[in-house]
Amino acid sequence: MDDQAGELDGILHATDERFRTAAWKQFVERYSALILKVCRAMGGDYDAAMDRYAFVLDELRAHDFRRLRTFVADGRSKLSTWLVVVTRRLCLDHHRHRYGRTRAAGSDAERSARRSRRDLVDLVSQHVVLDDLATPESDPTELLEESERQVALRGALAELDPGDRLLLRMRFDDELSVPEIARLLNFPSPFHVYRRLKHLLQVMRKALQRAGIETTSS
Amino acid sequence: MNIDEGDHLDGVRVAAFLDAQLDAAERRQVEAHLEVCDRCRDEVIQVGRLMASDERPARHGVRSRLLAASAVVAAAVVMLAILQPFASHPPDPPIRAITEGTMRLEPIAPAPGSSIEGTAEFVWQSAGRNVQYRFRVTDAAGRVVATVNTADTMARLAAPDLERGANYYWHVDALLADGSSATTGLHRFQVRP
Repeated sequence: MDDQAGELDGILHATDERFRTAAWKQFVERYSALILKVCRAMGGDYDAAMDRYAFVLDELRAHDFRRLRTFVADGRSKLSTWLVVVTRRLCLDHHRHRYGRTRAAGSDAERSARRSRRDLVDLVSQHVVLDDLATPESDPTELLEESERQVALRGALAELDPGDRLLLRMRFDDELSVPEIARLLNFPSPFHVYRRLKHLLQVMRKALQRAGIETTSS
Repeated sequence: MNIDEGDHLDGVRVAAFLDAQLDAAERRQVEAHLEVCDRCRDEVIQVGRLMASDERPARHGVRSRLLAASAVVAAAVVMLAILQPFASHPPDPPIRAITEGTMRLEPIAPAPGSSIEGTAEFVWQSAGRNVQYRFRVTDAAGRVVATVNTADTMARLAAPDLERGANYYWHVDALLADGSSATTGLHRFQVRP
């Protein structure tokens, strides 16, 4: 990503204010569409999007382009990717400044609520296709067996790589499509995701079998 | 490596994760954090979606802008040839220059230079789906006399609110979902005396 550092060189290191201004103007012209797109995606009408856009540009310039300097110092990602991340965060900041911190509508709040009701073990257990899960009306034997299943599954999950647990979380909790997971986690193709998921569910089933728990294969 | 910033991933790390630029050890730590942190995982998902939608229209968007620019130049030549003999008013202000990233939006009604009375409807070309438009009217001195934000391709203006016999100028700016913009440029109309 060295060429990106060069692209920002005029903004961050020019000693002549005219060159810095010209470099900044070039940066804005080049990346305005991307920044506007993110601002637009955060909702609201034309004026709301333009307010956020102006705020983002102000914040990128703030404190002698502190945020751009942070990006250059790290140097790993593409400037466009980083700009999407930071623009989105600044749009959320802008919203908080204007309206105060509110409980996030939609995905964050919904998922937090879902997680309070069930965790990854429950989600995966549904897909390992166990026998009927114990209900409050079940007898103590069934409750004990259910508890043993949960322990066995937790143990199996704990032994997985973080990337595999993240894959299961995205698939069964976030309910993302396989193509989207492939893109986010940099799998070569959706087919690779399907194959990995199948492998992981087999690992879960074997863990249950080792613990002496019967499963019903789908 | 610390997952800091108040126990959430910092922006450069999120971007590096999405671009697959983390080394193996750091990637494992980030994956472990994302598995348990709903907020950071949601950010990765949302940014991933924004980037995915940005990749697809890029080539198409540039080509369609070039085509739009060519069409505008051809239309401008035709308009000049037709309108020149009828010029008896002070010349309309020049149509706003097409700058990089700004497409031309065609005005449909009223015709340039026409007179309005009662409640007039201003209509313009659609720039596609999921577009926000800002319709604006200015007087001859450049003062804004009316602004309407709309997702429709039409705005209404009541002539009695304006000065009879005076010249006004209207234009529409469009903000498209992909971040690009379009404009009609300025067009003159008069309120019937």
